[in-house]
Amino acid sequence: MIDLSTYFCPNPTCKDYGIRGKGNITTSTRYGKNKTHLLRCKTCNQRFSENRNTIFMHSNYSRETIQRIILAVSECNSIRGTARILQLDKDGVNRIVLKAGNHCKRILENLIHDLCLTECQLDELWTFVKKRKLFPTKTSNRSMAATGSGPPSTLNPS
Amino acid sequence: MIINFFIGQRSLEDCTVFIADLVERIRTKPLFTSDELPHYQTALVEHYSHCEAHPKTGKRGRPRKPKVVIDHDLKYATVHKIRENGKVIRVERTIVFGDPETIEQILKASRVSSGINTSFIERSNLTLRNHNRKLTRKTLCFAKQKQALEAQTTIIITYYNFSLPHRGLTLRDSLGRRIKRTPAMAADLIDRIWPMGEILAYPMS
Repeated sequence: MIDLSTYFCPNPTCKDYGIRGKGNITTSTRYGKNKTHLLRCKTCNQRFSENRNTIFMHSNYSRETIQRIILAVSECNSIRGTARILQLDKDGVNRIVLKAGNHCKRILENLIHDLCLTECQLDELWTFVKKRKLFPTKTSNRSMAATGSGPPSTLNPS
Repeated sequence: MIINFFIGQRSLEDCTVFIADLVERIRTKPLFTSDELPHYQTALVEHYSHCEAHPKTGKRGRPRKPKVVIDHDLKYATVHKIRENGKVIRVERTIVFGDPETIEQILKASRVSSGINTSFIERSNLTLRNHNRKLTRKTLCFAKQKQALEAQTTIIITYYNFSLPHRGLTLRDSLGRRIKRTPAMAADLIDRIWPMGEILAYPMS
């Protein structure tokens, strides 16, 4: 059973745009192979998918796969490790992680506010971001003696 | 609960941005505790102070610059750990702003802290390192792009706040059964544990 109170009308011209739990959202029908709900706003008659404004929209992966990816990444698995565990492509996993990062950022922005605190602790965490340079810088002196393993010996081995 | 985070350098500019975001999210003026990084003090003074103009003297010349008056209810303390051979031998606690008696009362009323400390943030730092592969030390999984580090850290902080029950926050009901709570439940932001699937399916504008 779908909880309609979490959904809101995504139509910016509707007067109930962005308001949750007002009772203006109703189920219309289902579509697709996963039987996704098609919802309708009673105020402006706009129809929209239940996946609208979530990370499941326009994704080729199923809901379960996306949830497993995010849970695996949240429990200290690497991107390639997650891809190997779930037998997926690493670029696909990375795409989902970046998409979920944006979604989670909006959740943190919108839900964590107006806090009543008595204590607040501040600290830093050290880490680094680094990328290996794929190609070395251009050098004018291109010879085995200058940058390689040395020129071949001219001495007779005997 | 981890309220916010900022990925950047250990500079005053980045610290100011971070503190500005933190101040926007809280309604009260809590007791701030940190290590001895001086940027926190500067950034806090910037947000919890106002300028007071000097009275006019009636003389000619440039008037004096307005005085910066720090809010009397700003409470800030630092913790300095003195180490010997890598082990902490002594902890020095300094009250930078605020009345020591008020701070003592806050700490007495606190259910978790018995003194000025940064233990909880240090503990959550370790939890983050254990959950985030990009922060795990001495591995090859370090971040190669800032965007990826941001995304993964955001996911894990959301997971920590909303999905992961914290053992220290467990309550017992009238029948003695354990009620697991997440940090966001303890802060009254949500009323039940949100599984990760529910967070991802929560529509955001």
